[in-house]
Amino acid sequence: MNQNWGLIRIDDRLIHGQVIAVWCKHRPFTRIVIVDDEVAADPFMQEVMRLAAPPGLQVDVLSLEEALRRLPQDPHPRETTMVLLRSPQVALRLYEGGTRYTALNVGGLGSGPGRRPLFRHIAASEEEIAALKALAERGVDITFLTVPGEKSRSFKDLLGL
Amino acid sequence: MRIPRKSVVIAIAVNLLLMGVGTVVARAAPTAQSEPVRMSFLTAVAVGILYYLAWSPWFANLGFTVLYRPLIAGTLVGAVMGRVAEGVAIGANINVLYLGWITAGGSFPGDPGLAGYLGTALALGGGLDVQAALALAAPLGLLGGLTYSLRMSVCSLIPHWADRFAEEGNIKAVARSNYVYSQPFLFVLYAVPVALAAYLGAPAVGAALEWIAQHAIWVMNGLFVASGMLAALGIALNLKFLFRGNTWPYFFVGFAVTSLMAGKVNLVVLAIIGACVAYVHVLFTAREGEEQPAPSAEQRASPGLLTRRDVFRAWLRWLFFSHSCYNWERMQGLGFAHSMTPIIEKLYKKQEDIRAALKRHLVFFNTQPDIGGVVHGIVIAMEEERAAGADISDEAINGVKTGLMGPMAGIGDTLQQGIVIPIALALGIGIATGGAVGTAKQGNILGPLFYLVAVAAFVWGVGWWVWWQGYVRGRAAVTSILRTGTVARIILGAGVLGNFIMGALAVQFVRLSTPVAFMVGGSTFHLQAILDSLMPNLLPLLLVLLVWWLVARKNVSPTWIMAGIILVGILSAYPIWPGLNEAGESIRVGLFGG
Repeated sequence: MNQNWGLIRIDDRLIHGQVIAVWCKHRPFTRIVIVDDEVAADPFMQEVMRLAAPPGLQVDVLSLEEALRRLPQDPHPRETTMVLLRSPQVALRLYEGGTRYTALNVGGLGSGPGRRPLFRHIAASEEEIAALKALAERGVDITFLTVPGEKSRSFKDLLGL
Repeated sequence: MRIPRKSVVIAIAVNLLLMGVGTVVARAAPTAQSEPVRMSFLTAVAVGILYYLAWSPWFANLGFTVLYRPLIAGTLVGAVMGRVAEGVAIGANINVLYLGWITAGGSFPGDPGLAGYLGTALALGGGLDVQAALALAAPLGLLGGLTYSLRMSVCSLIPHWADRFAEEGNIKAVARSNYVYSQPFLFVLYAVPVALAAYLGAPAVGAALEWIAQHAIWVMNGLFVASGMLAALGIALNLKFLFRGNTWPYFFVGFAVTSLMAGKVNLVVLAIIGACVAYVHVLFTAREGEEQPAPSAEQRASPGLLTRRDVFRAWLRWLFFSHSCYNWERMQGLGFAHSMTPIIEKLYKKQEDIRAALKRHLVFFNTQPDIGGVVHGIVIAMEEERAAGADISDEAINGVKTGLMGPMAGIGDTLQQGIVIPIALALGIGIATGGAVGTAKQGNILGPLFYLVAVAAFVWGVGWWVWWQGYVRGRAAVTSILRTGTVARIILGAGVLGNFIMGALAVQFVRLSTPVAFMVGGSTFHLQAILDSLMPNLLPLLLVLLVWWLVARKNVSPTWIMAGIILVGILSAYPIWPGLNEAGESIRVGLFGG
């Protein structure tokens, strides 16, 4: 099974300081895969994402549909690949579409109307919580952690499951 | 255009004045005494207020980037307590430990400011020397993280008040929510505990020290050993980011060059050598064709509703108040809205437009304040075009903000926290201690001043330039700044320079040697002399590499390493090892020590 992804991370800001200045220095990633329909449809944002990544780090942007098709047979080494997603729903779709993983990092989900604060600055809507629950039920170990070395919480503890 | 230039001139003049006053104060200060300074209640209050000021928004973004650093903290506390030169030396030493300290996207590992302000105050008030001060202040930095979460939670309430003011279309009140309402709370949160700790702690520290001096003098030796070793952690944390790719050999180049200069090291000279090496490296490794043609510097056609002065006024608000109400819920959201208030005031006259614009910008936002300013520039341009009648939707403006704030933060954190601050700090500490970290009792005020000027130049200069580019060129500014490859080259060159400097610091800042010696068949063997004949500074190098391996390869938390080093340092000074006194008689010594 393809469970040895370097990191699968939900972060609504996708590539940013924590990802580049901390995660990428902490572990030897060679590639970031962004699964996001919006960025996949916007050539300008794709270029920004590529330019923002440090030299030597490959950035691939896939729409959800492309990701569902390509990630299960992805030929690149998985241990050094970071997959960035904007929402738990996308994570669930990927999982059900055959991109299996055992651990999921929730690194950043901003607050807003109708969103419940869960841990520090991570908030989620009811649909997002439902998607996370569905993943937890399938045995995915979900951890709320912004960057290595910080305080973390497991999703199960948080909901008292 | 006239007014911004005037403001810049005033800012420079104020800075020069401050520097002059600083120098005069430093010159007038009494020379070092080992007598403790009496910690009066007023002095303690002043220390508490200084710590609040380091967190406060009142210094044009030089609070967190400058005042918060132990090098500066030590200087200021020294000035308040009448011992500037000693304060500089203590602050510089504490700061060595936090050279590799980085905070990204609201994550906050430890509190260098607390170590700097409270640590220096306790050291001067308790009559500690530089070494003991370092071993004492180091763990203080770990306590600060405790209040951070509280601050971030409490400040989450304020944006909700701002929401109500936005509903009323009250521009001034939204601005006030950002920079006024959070401050009384933050003042109490930061100033009061630190003032109390300084007032009550200083005599306690002094008493504890006296007890140690009378009953367990080897512990003093142990604190000295531990302080020399702790610098290895600061360097290793930096190396975690630097010691990689194809630039890591420069660490050993820096180490070797500094080792060869034995005793006659000047960090500024070393930095010049390092910068030349970095330039050559970048020159020879830049591949042909990698460079894309810089896009034309074409400017967007502005509808002309805003003047340069309006854009500058917005920037000033961001420069000062981007983090004044930083909170878990919206991070810099309120700061963003505040920075837009002069623009909204100028562009929109109808109540409903003002309401909509305020609400539009009161949402979650988080970026790196200097480089991230390009986003604000672009958003100001979009607001201007929208007010002039162009069809720009809320979604389009939001899309630019949410899409760009992340990538710009990535580049900004790499440049500012990963390059400018550590290198400026390393040089500032080098100048402050005259290269004799850990032993210099008297610091040189030029060290902290150098750091202040270097960081101010980046934060103000680059910050305004990036902001203005965003405004005049719109979205194209982002790709044109990045595409020329200049940023990538700066990062590569800084990697070389950073490794080189860290190699130099391993020689300069880390102190570790052994007094172990023994007699065999009538001739004496000094272990340190044997090690030196193999290679000078071997023990410091091995220690730095060991700590690097623990933090970077084994993911051991810096907290544990810090605790481990202090423990090992103190215990290793316990005299159970064979040694020789000056007369050549056999005595017991610690494994490490002077």
